[in-house]
Amino acid sequence: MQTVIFLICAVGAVAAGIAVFRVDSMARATLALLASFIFAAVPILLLGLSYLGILVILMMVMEMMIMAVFMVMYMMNPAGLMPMKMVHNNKMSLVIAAAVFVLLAAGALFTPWPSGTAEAAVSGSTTTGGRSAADPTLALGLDLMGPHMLVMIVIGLALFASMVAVVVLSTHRGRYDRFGDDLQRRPADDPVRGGLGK
Amino acid sequence: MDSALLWSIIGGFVVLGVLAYAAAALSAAMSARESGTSAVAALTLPGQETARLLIRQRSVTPGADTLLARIGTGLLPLAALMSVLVIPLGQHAISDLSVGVVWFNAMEVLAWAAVWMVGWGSNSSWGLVGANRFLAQGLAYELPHMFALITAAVGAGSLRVSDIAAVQGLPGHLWFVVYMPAAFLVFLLSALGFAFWGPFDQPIGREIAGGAAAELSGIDRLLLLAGRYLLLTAGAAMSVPLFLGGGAGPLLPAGAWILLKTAAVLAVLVWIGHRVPAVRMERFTEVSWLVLLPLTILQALAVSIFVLVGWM
Amino acid sequence: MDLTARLLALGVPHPFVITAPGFTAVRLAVEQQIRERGWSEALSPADADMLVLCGSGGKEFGAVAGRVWEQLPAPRTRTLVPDPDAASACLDAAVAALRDLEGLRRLEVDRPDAAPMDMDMAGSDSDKTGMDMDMDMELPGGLPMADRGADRDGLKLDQLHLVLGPALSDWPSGLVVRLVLQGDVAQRAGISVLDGAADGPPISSFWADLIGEAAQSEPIEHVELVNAAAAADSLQRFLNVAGWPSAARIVRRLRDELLAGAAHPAARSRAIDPRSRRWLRAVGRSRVLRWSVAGLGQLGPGQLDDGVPLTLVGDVTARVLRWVDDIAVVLDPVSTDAREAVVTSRAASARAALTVLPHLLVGQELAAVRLIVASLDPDIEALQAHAAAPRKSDG
Repeated sequence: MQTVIFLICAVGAVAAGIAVFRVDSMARATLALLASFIFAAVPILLLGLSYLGILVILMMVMEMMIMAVFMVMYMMNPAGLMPMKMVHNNKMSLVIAAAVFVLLAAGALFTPWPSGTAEAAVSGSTTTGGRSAADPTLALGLDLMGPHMLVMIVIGLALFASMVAVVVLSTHRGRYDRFGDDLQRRPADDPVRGGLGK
Repeated sequence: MDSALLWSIIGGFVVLGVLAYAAAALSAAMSARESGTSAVAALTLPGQETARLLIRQRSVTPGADTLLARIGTGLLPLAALMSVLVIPLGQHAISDLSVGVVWFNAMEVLAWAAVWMVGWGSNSSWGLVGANRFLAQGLAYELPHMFALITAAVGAGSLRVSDIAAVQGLPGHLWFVVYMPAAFLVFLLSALGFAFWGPFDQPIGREIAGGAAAELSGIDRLLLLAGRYLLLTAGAAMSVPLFLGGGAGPLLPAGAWILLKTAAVLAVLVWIGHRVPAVRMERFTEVSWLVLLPLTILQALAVSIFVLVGWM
Repeated sequence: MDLTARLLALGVPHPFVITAPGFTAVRLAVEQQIRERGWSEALSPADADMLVLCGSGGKEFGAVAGRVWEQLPAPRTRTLVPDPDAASACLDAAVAALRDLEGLRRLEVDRPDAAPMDMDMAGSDSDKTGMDMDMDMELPGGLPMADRGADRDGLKLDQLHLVLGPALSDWPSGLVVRLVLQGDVAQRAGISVLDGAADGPPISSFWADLIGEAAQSEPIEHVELVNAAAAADSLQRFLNVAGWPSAARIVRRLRDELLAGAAHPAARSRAIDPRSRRWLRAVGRSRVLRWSVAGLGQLGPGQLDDGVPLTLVGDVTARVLRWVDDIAVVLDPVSTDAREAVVTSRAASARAALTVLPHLLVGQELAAVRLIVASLDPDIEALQAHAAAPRKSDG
């Protein structure tokens, strides 16, 4: 049963991935990519990592929909009528794709995976979800992060801060445009007034 | 074993459908009262509307992306049905996943994709504006909503919906709505948001000719409207195990209490939809990010401290 | 009787109503009928099974009605209501037509098949009620590609040409606003007005005439009553646009009751439901409503060369609260503060509204555009009647 589901998802993910480059509209390409990610999330569920698997679905739906809007924003054409080529720079893309595939496949094949199955880990899990040592999600987290948890948390914060900083630096309008040269103007001079009147 | 599962699925969906119909009928009756016509006669209106839509021709606009639009209209009720797998609508949930709260969240987010596909695929300016409005709405309600869900999970120390409900039934424990009122209110707001109901119905707003639903007719329209009521019902049903003690209550069996509480929350949501004017995201987003988001984070912090100190 | 006929008999019609210039009286009668029958109006042609034309207008109106009719999916029927008294009979006939399976099938036999990618059909179909684009380049579906232009935030975005009106629900009848949108932000706005029938009688203004008649009649509060009914008509349209259909339904009923009271002054106090009074107060005090529309469409008194009429000064909230006050004067005369009666001719305020609209709309999002138009609610009919017969009193 598991093998069948895995095969369906594996084929589906690859097919949806190919569809991203074959369809001729931004919307369909984005949603094909979304389908591919969801197919890829199901094997994670099969590994017993239900939290991570569902989280992948959750985050991918949100991300892809936001991405769709940004793609359309630069090409507002209801229903993406203008058929467009979804491939550019073919040769270089092929080279990069092949190299990345070889790298990942080599990693998957040559890593000394631990023996034993996920079943064994799951069967011992208790209902206190997330706290049991037998919880595969916790086990995976410990294995990946191990003693570096603090470092990882700090890196996470730094990444988030730099994302906010990039957005702040790249906005067209700064606080002097909004609040005036002496930063005293209230309410701010915005093209659209917000709900708090700030 | 298999037939028991099948019956629980059928039972759960039937209960959800009946509650969703009740919500639609209540809304129709309130509308009739507002118009000065018979409220009792309006109780059958959702059924009559279903009959009307079943035999209507589907409408197709030139250049529409019919494939995406049809996937979208089907996905919306499907998302509601799948979200209800983890919610007890009676004695037990259909499938009490260990990560039920995350599952509910993921299924409810599928509505983003569904509504956007419908609005985009209909190839109409109104549809596109409505679709993009729903995503803006999603960005406004989703983060406070996630923190509200997490707060309830932290309170019980589990992501399993039945665990969260069970903790509130233990002696010495109050319902979570007492410990986390802000999270409860934010959850109700976001239930209105993801079902695009009441003050958050601008994605299918009147002033954009029905928005994402502007070009829908026949079975497509029926699926979208049904999906909307099912989502609203699923939201109301989810608030019961998360915040209102699940099946806890005197005299009546747990299943009856769950149904009663769900119906009550659903009636409140429908009532809010009639008594509050639309909230436009242009104004609401600032409130959501600058007020509700910090509020829910503080709520989560407070609950975490309660748990650490051992007060709950 | 087969299943289709049975289901057909169960359905409650969703009429799509279009009003020709000069036929407000018919629209009011039709809306009252729809309300009393417990029907709900369709918001778009796709949801409608009944096209109701209130009066007949010029060539442009006929063309619009024809395009909307093409978009109605089967089963469908259309009816033309020539005068207010005929409303009930016309709607009855339309319902009968909607139940008549054989007749409906005959109607659809010679309907051209509207395949989505059919180039022949696309020419007539792409020009939809709300959507009109410049024909630069033919693409699949017969739709043209968008042009690009600089936008408010310094990006270069595609432009969408959107026509609001005349066939749009909760929209001042006869008004047409042509928008150039980027995203949903209006970059340019052009205003035009639908003409009346060339061969028909000259357009008369329903509200201005009624107010003029009331001013000549005996009890002086009669004018206030008609004025309140006119305010209620504008207010219900605004409330629908502001996304509060419940309140709009109440105010629409109130409008019908006020009009009935104006027709029979003796029955006036009985006619009005006390619940309307509570609702009206709730609308006037609603914080969410004020918060949601405050600051939009701000008009200063000196913004026009010949002055902005006092009824239009302020933002959307101010104009809406003025309507609420106009109605409250009639509902609770005691509790309302004695106000200076502001008498502005409807034609003059419509003219001022049309002059300022293009400037007010630029830079606004689509939702704000609709709110601003609904709060100004220009009475196109009064304007046209005034232009046709300047000597006539326009209230």
